[in-house]
Amino acid sequence: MIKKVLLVLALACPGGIWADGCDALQGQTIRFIVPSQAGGGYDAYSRLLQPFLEGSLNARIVIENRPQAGGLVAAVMIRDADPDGRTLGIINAAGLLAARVSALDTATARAPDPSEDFTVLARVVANHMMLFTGRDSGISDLGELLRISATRPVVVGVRDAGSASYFVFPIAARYLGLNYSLVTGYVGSSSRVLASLRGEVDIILQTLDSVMPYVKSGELVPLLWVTDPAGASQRGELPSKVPVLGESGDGSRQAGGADPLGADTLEPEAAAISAMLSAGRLVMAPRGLAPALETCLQDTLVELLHSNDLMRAANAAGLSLDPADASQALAELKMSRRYMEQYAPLMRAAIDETRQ
Amino acid sequence: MDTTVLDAALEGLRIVFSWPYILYPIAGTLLAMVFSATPGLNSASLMALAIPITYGWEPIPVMLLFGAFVGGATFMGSVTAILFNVPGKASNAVALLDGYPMAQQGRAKEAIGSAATASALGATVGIFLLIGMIPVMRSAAIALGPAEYLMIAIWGLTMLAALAGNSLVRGLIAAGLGFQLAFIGYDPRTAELRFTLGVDYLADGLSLVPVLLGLFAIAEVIDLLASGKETIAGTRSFERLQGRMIDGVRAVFRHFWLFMRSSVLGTIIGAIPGIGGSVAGYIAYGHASQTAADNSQFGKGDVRGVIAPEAAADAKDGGALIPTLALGIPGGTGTAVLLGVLTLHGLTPGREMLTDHLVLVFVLIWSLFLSNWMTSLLGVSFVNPLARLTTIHTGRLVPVILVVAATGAIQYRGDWGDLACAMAFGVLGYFMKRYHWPRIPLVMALALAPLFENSLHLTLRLQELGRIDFWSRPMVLVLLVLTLLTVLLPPFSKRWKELRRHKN
Repeated sequence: MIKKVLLVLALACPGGIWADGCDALQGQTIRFIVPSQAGGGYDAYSRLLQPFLEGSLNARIVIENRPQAGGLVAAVMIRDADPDGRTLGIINAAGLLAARVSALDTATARAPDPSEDFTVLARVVANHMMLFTGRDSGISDLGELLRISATRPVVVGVRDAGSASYFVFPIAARYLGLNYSLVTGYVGSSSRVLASLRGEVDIILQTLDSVMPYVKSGELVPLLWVTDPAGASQRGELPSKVPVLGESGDGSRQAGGADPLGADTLEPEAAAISAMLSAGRLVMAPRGLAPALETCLQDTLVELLHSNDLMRAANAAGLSLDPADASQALAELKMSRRYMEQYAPLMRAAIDETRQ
Repeated sequence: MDTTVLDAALEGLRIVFSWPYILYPIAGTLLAMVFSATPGLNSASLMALAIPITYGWEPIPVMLLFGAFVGGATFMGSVTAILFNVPGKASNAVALLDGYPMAQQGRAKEAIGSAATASALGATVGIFLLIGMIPVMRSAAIALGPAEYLMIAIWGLTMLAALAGNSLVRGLIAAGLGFQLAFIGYDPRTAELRFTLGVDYLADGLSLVPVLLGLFAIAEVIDLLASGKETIAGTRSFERLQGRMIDGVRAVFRHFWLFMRSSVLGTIIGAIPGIGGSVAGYIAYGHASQTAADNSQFGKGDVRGVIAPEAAADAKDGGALIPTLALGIPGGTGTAVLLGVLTLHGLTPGREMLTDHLVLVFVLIWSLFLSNWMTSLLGVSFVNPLARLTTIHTGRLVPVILVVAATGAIQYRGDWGDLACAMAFGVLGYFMKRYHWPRIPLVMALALAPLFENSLHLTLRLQELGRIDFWSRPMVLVLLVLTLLTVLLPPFSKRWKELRRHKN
């Protein structure tokens, strides 16, 4: 009799508070918040996930593009939503951390903390960042870059003083002993690629997947992995082996043609740079999900991200995947934050210099 | 042009008009028309929604559909701009500057006729320029850099004086206000927040669409209510509407050189990644006003004020495809989504696309061409029922315009702050209209200032680092001469005519 009463109550409850895991989401509409406009990189990943997630959860996923304030608006929307599983989203974890740690202004100082303010569900891809140069730049490899840097500052095209790459480049340059001048104001990866092709700047710092077509066509030449390339699915498609920052000691010695990918450890400072940048694109939910729902969403996403169908679709779309489960993503996120906090004074000094 | 390009062009044309492929551009155009006529929605939203549907499709139907999405979205936004002062998107907004005053004079049919003709022919010019540039597309796409963008912005800004109407001082003050408003938000160089008063909504700066909706649509609603005007056209009788659609069509041919100049301008400016689309119409409008022998009627219902921006706004699609196809750099939001779709179907823009997949490139181009003509022809065929809307009693029309404008503001980015912004600018626009302060210089400064500011920063920095030599760049010098001619020629020409008249 008690069982029957409980069953009736469970069925009568809207949303089914006793329903197990993701059952509560069946037939529901889930908002998926994206921090870029339609057509942007985060949008492409979200639309790639959309049909697969719909099939797995038996729910309707509605993508909402909220590109305002460099993704801060989207992050705040996810953080502030009800923790019922009906609001999910994807965030730029490294960008959010950089904004928060550098505390450029009142808005970025109030940026959500990706390692504390959300429920991490999965990592879709890590940021596999590299230094690139244009084909006609006269720079063939890292050694050439360092030789040029000994005679004049190398010109680097970056977005603005608040971006994650801006945060990290001065540290990487110090590590390499690179003499450089930054040119800020190249908003959007397309404008940085164009600047490189036009020869306005010597190098740009980009994720590999965002410029892979240019690398394949030979328009851009990869010079150096700034982050650990392990897990970069498109690594094998590079035209030649590329040195990794921090492998076998001094990055500058990598240019001699040794096979750096054979190394298995990074120098501590290079590991810090890699950790800061590679936090990646994470699928998040608000904090406070019911444990069963949280586990179910995490398991569903990890299973999906490792499925052959999704990998094939990603490959067709030219999107690289480097999935990680929630615990690994969270651990990396915390490490990224720790390093960013450690290097924050250096970063703020660089920003102050730009602003003067 | 070599035979390979011609053969590919003909093969592409044959595919577009063959059965059942012809159904794709038709369906795409109709969908794009619905989306673009709805304020706040745009072709990029439609394209993003369509991406998952086309996952398993062959490349040809995909090119046909997405080409139509890009081309079909351009003209319909101008219809709401002309009829109700409600711009569909930033690039159509310029059509309202003279289109709506024409509708108020009972000349809505003429305005729509000229807009439709300029739109279709402008797209044609843009597409043929695009085809002509295929062999040199890559060089063309990287020929323009920050120095050239800066000169284009300066050239556009020199036109502000011509748009000031009767009071140069008021015009310049309005332009100054527009400039100041454009500096709200993040500094593109240092990421510093400027003039946000601690309001998070302002961190990204003021978006052009809610500002335009407020300054023109909401302000018009307030004015209609305050003035007690019976209808927009001033008459409830459809038969008493002046202007015929054919007059609008003829006007494009009467001002053919203006149309051609505007189309070429639109194509060039459209090729500027990211920003070209929204400013092409403004620069063409300014150019039309500045080069007109008599520009006293601009802003008051001059058909040239419809022809120039419409031609440029549609020609820009051809221009936007230049960096997209040559380098994989999107010219605007629509082409950004298109780029994603191309990649999704294994097509990599660049040299490979322009050699190995040239037929597909032409399928895309002809679909764009067809959809531009379809939207214009459909617009013209519905000109009577559309014009009749201007004879509806304002008591019925005002709530509809208000709802459409408010929906447009909210739907644009899903941000209620945009509605508040539209309302605030509605009040400002009403008082500017009432006290005869020109609104066009404000909008034009707001549209051009981001291009000016960022290009200025980059040009100065690159010059300082010795990466460019501003004065030795051919395109910079051409644009400089053009700017000087734009500023100096009208007064000299006027003076010359006066002297000749005096002599005779």
